[in-house]
Amino acid sequence: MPRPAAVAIDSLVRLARQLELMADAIARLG
Amino acid sequence: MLQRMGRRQGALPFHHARRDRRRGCQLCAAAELGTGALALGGERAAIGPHGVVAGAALAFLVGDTTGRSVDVVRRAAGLSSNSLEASINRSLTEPGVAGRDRVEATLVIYAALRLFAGRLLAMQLGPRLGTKLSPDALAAWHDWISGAMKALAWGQPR
Repeated sequence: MPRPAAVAIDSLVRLARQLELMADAIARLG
Repeated sequence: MLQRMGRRQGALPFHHARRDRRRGCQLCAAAELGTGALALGGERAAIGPHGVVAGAALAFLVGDTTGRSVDVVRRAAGLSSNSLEASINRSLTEPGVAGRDRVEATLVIYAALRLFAGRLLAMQLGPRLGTKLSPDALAAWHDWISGAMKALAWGQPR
């Protein structure tokens, strides 16, 4: 069973990853 | 084309009575931000309401707001995603109206927003997930994520 703190951090990192993808896409849009 | 679609969908959705809008309803304000802004800023505009959801959901984890408040802004963000999806569908069925690169970038933003929303919802519904991080750590993440979403939506410095 994953530890809740690790799951929380994993979730936040996933959010950051989605932000990164959006930033790249925005840059491509110009 | 995407701007045209946004303008067509700029009217507020069916969900709310006019008298509620006059009271400054949070849901309507967020919905206007999402659907109306699509006409002005294209794909960026859909990011704004999701940034509001991120701020609310992370505030919920530290006990600064209620789940009901998060649900209200989440609904508005969902509407903005639906508008963006309609724009994508239109551009896919009208080849040549929007460039391939633009459509691909828009698809990436759309998918990222959906995943973003899903993860936030999982965090909100996860039993005591937020309490496993210190309030200071969550506050730092809240500020960074909200700021980054605003920067993406409105071009503000991060």
